[in-house]
Amino acid sequence: MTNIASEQLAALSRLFSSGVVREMARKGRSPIFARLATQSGLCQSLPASDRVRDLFEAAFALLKREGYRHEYIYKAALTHNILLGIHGLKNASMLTEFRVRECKADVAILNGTSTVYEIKSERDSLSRLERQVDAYGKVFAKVYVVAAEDHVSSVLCSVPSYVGVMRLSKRYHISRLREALDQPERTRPDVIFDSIRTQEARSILLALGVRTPLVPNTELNAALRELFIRLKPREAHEGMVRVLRTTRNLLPLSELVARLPYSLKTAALSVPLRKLDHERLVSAVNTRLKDSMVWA
Amino acid sequence: MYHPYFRGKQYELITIREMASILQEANFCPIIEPVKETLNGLSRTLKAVAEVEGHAIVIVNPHHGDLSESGEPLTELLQEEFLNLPGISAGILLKPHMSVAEALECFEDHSDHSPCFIHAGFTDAKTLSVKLSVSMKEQCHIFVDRFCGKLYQKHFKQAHRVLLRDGFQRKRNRDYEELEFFSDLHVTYPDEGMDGFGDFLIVGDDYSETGGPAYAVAIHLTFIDPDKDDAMQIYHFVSDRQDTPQDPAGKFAEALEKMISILKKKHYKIEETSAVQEFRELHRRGHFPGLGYIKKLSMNHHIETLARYFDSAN
Repeated sequence: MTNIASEQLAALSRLFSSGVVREMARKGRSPIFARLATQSGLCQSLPASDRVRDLFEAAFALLKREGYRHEYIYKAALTHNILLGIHGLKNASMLTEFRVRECKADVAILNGTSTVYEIKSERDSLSRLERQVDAYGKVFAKVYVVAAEDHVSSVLCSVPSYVGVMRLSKRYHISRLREALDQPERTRPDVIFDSIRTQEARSILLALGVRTPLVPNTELNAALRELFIRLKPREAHEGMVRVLRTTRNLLPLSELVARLPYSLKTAALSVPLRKLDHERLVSAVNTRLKDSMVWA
Repeated sequence: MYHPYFRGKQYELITIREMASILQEANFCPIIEPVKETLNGLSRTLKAVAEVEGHAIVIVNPHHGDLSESGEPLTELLQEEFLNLPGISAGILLKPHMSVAEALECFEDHSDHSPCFIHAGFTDAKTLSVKLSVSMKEQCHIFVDRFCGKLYQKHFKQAHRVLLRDGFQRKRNRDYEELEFFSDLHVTYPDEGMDGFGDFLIVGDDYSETGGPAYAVAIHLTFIDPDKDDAMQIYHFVSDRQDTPQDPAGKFAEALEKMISILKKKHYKIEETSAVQEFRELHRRGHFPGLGYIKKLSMNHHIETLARYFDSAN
């Protein structure tokens, strides 16, 4: 396959959507996978002895090529290089699709500080970037835009200077073109409060010695908000990093992640899965391709 | 009589358990489509139903959820624990691509459990009715309204017939009008030539695995309106804030406030059920018990309202 037709490309991309992983995990089989495997043309071109995991790897290899990359490929590059490569699941947490105001941050990583990554693949437009970067800057100490080659120059001129810029190279390496500034003092407690859960805000306050007011639970959020917005940005941010590293800890997934092929590790880290589904997901992924075709 | 159709999630099962006596006294018979892999909750619920000598239909080949691939564990559960309890029957879901042979085989397999059919997309009514005709009089056939027209239903004329209609218009919570028509089937089912009727309570026929975060919190409350020929209406009390998934507890308080203000009006028509009393108590305490619990209260209220309606009619 040198040139990929657009229907094939759509099928390849959808293989990595959360629906497929969720279906395999819950049922041990995925009709959507079987359909997409056929539509992508991959199933027909792979050896008879291959397994479901091999098809994912082959699809990933195709999507990795420049011009075909979509968001998942970027997310995977970040997960592999930064989360699994530099920090490890023990020392850092990853948030995906984390809501800040009306935006959803693609990937954020919390270790000693917090770093958010906004992905602009070759298939994305830059129209929302300004608003996104502005919102993320109010919650995270470091903000990066990870851009496709074509977007790099316009991203560099349009975003504020505290925002770092990265590029995903032709060889699927992430390179830093400009460092992000680490500025927890730039964050805003009110925006942080509105992005996290009530119980998380409560823990942050508690750790700072601020007691939870005795009110009915329907009034708790409003009461905590009043206290939270009085925090200094640094305190609120530091508290957020500390608490979210516990509440959004991905360490329980490490065994599962180790048993999945490279291409699916990121999916397993971003789709919420029940513990009892882990084994089923692994066995679905290890199914022979020809047996998986009856899933359709 | 009345057949509320439940997907067997946690709070649906709790509703049936809590309402077991009321269901039995009113001669109501819930239909349960189990959707969860673990069957402890289902088993406990059926025992509660059996305890009060009530009735329930358990679908042995669910269309949705964990057991949609194979209902084998359900057949086993019925065989092992509920064989001698005549109140628990097996429901066979007749889905679009099922063959007559498959339907009959399932019917035979569950002959010990007074099997009944739920028609939900199956098309070959004629062949099936011919094959079943010998014992048709003792059979119960349940029709999901949106799949079965009058001509289809005609084939099963001799049987005990029940019509299921989804009165719940599923929308995003924010899109509800405060007051809507729900259903009049509890009044009109005899005119439809039926021996019973059913609905999908205040949950609706649409099935979702997770639901995702709620941006708006809604409380649904049904009532029967004597000024509208006893048609059933539904209130949707929706929170004011609807733009983020934050603070479900605070949003519940907003929705509850609207409900309480209706209950303060002079001639409100909502039955003072145990669920309504609990809503009043939650309002007094400012307490949010969780979204599943609220759904349970709305379902309890719906069942109790219909039970009172038929009780007073008799």
